[in-house]
Amino acid sequence: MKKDNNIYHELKEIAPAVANLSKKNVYNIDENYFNSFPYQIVEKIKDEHLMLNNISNKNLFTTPENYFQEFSSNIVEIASAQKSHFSEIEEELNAVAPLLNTISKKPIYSTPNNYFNTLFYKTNATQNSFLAKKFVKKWLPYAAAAIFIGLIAFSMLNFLNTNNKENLQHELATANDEEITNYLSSVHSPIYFSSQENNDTAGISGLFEIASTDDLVYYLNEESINSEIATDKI
Amino acid sequence: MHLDDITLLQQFKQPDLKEKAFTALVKKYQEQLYWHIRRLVVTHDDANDVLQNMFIKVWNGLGNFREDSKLYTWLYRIATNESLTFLENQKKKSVTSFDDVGESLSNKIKAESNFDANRLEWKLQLAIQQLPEKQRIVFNLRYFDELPYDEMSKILDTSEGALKASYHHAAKKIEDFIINH
Repeated sequence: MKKDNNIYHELKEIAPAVANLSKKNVYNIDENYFNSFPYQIVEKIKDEHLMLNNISNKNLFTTPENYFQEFSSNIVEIASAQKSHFSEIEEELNAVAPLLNTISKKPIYSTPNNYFNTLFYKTNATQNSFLAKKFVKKWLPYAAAAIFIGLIAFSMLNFLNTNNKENLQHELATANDEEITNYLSSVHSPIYFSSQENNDTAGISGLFEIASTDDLVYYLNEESINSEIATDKI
Repeated sequence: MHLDDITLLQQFKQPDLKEKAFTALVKKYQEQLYWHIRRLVVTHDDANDVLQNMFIKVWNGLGNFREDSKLYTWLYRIATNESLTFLENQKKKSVTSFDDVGESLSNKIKAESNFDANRLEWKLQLAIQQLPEKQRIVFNLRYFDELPYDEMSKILDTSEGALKASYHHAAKKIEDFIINH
């Protein structure tokens, strides 16, 4: 390369202070460096080549036994299995509606942006409320039926109870003394004594036996007054 | 007396002359390439590493060298790329940020055994390290190696106009640095 005076003039125009600087090398270097470098680099290249040549090409990794012998047949097997599955579906459709085999199965519908990315979170949030609604929906008819049956049962019991009381009072009001005496002395007293039938019937019979004649007269008078009042009401 | 590039390339392609041709090629270009590299990486050890790597690449690639460009242009291109790769690796290893590389190179200059802050030649070296990477290379190739713009354009894959602008900016910045320091 020849020295170019144009370079000096160019620089003098741009930056005269720089153009007038000395180009003397300021860096130090071993004086034999350039004499020895070519031989050093050749030696280094030889060493590297030697080193590379000494490295064995043997593969350090292992594969399962017979991997490569069976590899191609395994691939063929998998490919043919897949092919037969798809051809089976196609043949079936060919028999039914061959036109459908010519239509692409690619989805034509679009989904909102990020739909599949956010689907999992949305599903989780709605699943909880769905389960709660499902529970209510499942048990609501049973609960309603139970309440309805309960109301009917309660009404019937109430009705029967009222009827029994009214009948008893009416019968007592219209009964004469003899009937009452007979009734009280009889064993069957379904309403009042049913639970203590054996013990109390004897007790009441005993009371009539113990009571004086005056007490009985007083009792019967009182009952006749009651029956009159009841008759008036009716 | 150095052999011309065409003869060197022909000999390199003959197996029995390959090593001899390569040694001759290294002898011919080592100094100018060494200084080009040294001005970019500053220390001798780094310059030596880069020069060795560069010539190993030359050994591996010279057989495929296309003779449509000049050999020294190709060598400068490899030397420049190797230097930049070296500096890039230094940046990655360094704990300092990308912008502090110039400062790191300045510190290396100041650590040179014969550094003299009062000498203009050293100030010039410090000023060059303040430049952006591309301007630093352009200034060095033009100022020290005195390469024509068309050759620089081939080495750096940049248009001659852009190189002239870079050199202009670089020279101005260096002048400002020298005047103000």
